[in-house]
Amino acid sequence: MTPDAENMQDLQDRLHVLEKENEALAERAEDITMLGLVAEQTGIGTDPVEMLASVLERVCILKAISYGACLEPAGPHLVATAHYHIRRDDELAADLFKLRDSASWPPAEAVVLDPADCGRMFEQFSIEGQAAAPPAAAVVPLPYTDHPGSCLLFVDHQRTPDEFRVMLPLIKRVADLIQARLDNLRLVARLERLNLNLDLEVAERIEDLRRSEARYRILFDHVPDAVLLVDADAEGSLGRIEDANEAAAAMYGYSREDLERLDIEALSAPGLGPRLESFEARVWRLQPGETVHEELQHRRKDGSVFPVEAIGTLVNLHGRQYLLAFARDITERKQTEQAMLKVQRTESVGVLAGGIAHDFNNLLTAIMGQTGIALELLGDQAPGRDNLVKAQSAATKAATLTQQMLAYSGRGKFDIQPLLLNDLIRENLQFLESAIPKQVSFVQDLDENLPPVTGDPSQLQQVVMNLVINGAESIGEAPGILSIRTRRLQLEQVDNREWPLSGNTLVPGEFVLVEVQDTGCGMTEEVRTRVFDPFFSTKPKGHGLGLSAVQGIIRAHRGGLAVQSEVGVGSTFRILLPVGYPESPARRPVPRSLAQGSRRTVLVIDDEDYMLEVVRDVLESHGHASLLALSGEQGIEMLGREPERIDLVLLDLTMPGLGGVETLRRLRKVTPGIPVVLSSGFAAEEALGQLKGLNLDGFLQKPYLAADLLRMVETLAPQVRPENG
Amino acid sequence: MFQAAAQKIRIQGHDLAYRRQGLGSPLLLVHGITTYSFIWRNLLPELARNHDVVAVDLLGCGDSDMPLDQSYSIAAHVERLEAFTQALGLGPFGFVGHDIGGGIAQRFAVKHPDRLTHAVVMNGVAFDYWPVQPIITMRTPIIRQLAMAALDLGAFKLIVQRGVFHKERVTPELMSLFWKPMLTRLGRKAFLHFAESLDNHDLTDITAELRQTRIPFLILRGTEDVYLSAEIAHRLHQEIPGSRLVEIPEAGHFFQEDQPQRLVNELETFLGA
Repeated sequence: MTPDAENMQDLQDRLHVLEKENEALAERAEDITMLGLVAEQTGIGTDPVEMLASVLERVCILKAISYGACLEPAGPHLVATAHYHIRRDDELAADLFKLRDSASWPPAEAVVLDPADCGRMFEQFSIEGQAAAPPAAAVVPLPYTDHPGSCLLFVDHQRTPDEFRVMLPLIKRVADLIQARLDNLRLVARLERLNLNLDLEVAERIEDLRRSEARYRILFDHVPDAVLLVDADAEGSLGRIEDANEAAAAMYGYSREDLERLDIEALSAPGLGPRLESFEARVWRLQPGETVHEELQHRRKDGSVFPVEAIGTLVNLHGRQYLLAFARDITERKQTEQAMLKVQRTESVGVLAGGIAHDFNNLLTAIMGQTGIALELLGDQAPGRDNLVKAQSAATKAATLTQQMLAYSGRGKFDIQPLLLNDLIRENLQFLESAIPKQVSFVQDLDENLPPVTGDPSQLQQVVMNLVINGAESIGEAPGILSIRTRRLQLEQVDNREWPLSGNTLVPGEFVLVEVQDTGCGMTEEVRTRVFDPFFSTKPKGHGLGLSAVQGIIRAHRGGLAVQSEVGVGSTFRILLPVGYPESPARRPVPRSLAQGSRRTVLVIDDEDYMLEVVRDVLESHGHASLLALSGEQGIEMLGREPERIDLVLLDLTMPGLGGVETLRRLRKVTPGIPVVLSSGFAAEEALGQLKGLNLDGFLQKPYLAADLLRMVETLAPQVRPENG
Repeated sequence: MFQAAAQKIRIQGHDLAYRRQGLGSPLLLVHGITTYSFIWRNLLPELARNHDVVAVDLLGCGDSDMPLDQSYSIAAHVERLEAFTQALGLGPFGFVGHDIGGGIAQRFAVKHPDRLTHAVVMNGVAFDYWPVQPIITMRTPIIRQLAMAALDLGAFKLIVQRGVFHKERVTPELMSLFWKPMLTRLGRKAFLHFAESLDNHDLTDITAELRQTRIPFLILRGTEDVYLSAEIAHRLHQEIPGSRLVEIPEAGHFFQEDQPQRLVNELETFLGA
């Protein structure tokens, strides 16, 4: 070769080297681009199969490889979870890879297989129906967490194993990218699942909370008591009201918004009396689960004070401490309680008065009896007779007082019948007018359509008398007007608070109203509230029993009683009596007509020995005989022993042990026809009712005069008893 | 973009999409690789004034079917287009082919001479200047560039930009037309299958026949076409008797984008002659 030719050859060689280098550089640049594209795909894909297919496609296209797949073991087979075939629609894949029993999968590291290697590893290796082993294949482990047996497989029928080996590092880089992304996707999927679960859970909890809150809000807003949630986080003082229900707003007269800006102190009013410890202080000493329960005075927005029953407990809410307080307005309950207290006091005083009156009646009966006997024994001019007469007169006045005490106690003598109050007033007009001073005009305003009421005429007369005399006395010496008014009232509903004094609960219906009004001095509030108390009197000579008796009688008549009064203006007493006819009381048997002067034997049964004595003395002083028994049992025994001898039984109603009623029943068994006269200091309606059907022959109201006793004995005891009496 | 709506007709078991517009002597417009019938959109309304214009999407391109088991070779396209034009009822027609379409026009002219009145090769492949042997298709630089373009819009845009003289005309709208078939994996496979199917034997085989053709040939070349050298156009002009060569300045490989009106004028002049 010429030097020129040599030179040319040299240049061509150098050019060839440069071209090779250039080609290698270009290929290197392409590889980097490919890795970029693969990274882009692994970055955007979220579906692992689609991501794998996209990566396989990029590797196959850019490295001119005809087939790529991601294989996973499934039994002896390997399944292509994703694949790319440059000449095939993806949907039509039906490739078969079956491992030999001896083959281990996945390979420990990336390998390139020649046909012999392929035959050793695979029992079946078929892509697109081509069963022949390819000239070269690459298997690269892709052990991502969920699928540790995964491998990438690349096959090309125009490549040699050596050419594949050159590409192997690049494919491994691709596998690394995929693996990282798949692990990443798996974590993301798990996170998303957790997130979703969390979202669902949160949504569920929120819904639960919402329902719960709605439920408690309804409870909170519909509780009839005031409910207050008060900040109590700092010790020493109870603070701002954080929450309040509608009932609280209504009770205290604030809007809820205003209430929730207030301090709890604004609702407190000074208590009624000194307390050992304040409500707040007691709240602070509470242990978990304990409550403070106390009656307090609270103040409304308008300044008015009312009693509340407060229950407080400390609660924890959102890490803060609160006082949860329930307050109930107990104004009405307090009023009812006070009325009840009054009724109870009236009743207990009544029982006391009744008891005293009963004993006094017995004693007075004895005094009057013994005095009567003494007067009969003494001659008209006998010294001391005048004194005995005065003693008897005083005893009679005492008897009137005990009658009033009994009336107050509601256990006085009752003679129930229908009666017209107008008639009763008119019959007593003369007497009433005589009790009213001349300078007082007496006005009668009587409703002519007044229906009858049921009652005891003499007791109701006592009521009218007491009220009229009371009224007249309150007017005193000055001129004034006293009026008595009757009205017929049809009440559809009764506000019992307007009729507080009788202690009865009135039911709607027809009533007769009696109103006694005076223009007298009137009463102070203090007097007005006590005016019906027994033994309370503003008069120098008053016994304090007149209005008490009125109250007792009206109570016993199931009526209503009210009083209005103003100092210097006057007072109005109002009585409401239910219209109606009671069952007729036991009809008294027609007394058997007996000749007077015959000697009788009377069995006297009474637990008081002085009563037995006075009766015996009275009877014996008039020629009658008596058998005395200190108890029902004794009396029954005596009647049993000598039934023929006894003409009449005088029986006390109220006795310890066997009572009067039961004794009467047994006496009648012993001697069915025996006349029995009952005597009692009080003959309550009930007692008379119980005696119904037992053929009571007579009734003596204690204290009775000797004459009453003798008349009863002489008219009732048979002169000649029936054969089988 | 197109006045004519895409239609489809079933040829040899697969649908071919095409647009047809105008009345007059029939004219078939055939695109090359990387494009489809959209490339004619600026010429078609003008040509439709005097011609019954049919712009076809070759099998595997545009809206036509993309079977991967069918050959997309020039020879296969020729036979498919013969069946297609028959099915459309076209009488002897003018064949305008761009790029690979120009190669198809040459083979069509020698295989079905009575079907053509004219043949136009615009920036077309010819002879063995198409540097492809099937066995190494995917490893040749141009195919590797196309492969990259199938996967990466940026790479595709480089190819388009190199093929257009007026660079400012490579707008996102134009790119989205080029890119549309690449949006699906099947579209990408079909595209690569198209590239791979090209076998220059289909053209080297007909060199002798081409010298005998009596069909009037127009050879158009954009002087700025960087993909196909001037030598191809010059040799075609030499080999085909009576052929006419027009070289258009300021026009790249995709000179439908650079000089649409000039092309219409040249075509009308040639077809009217």
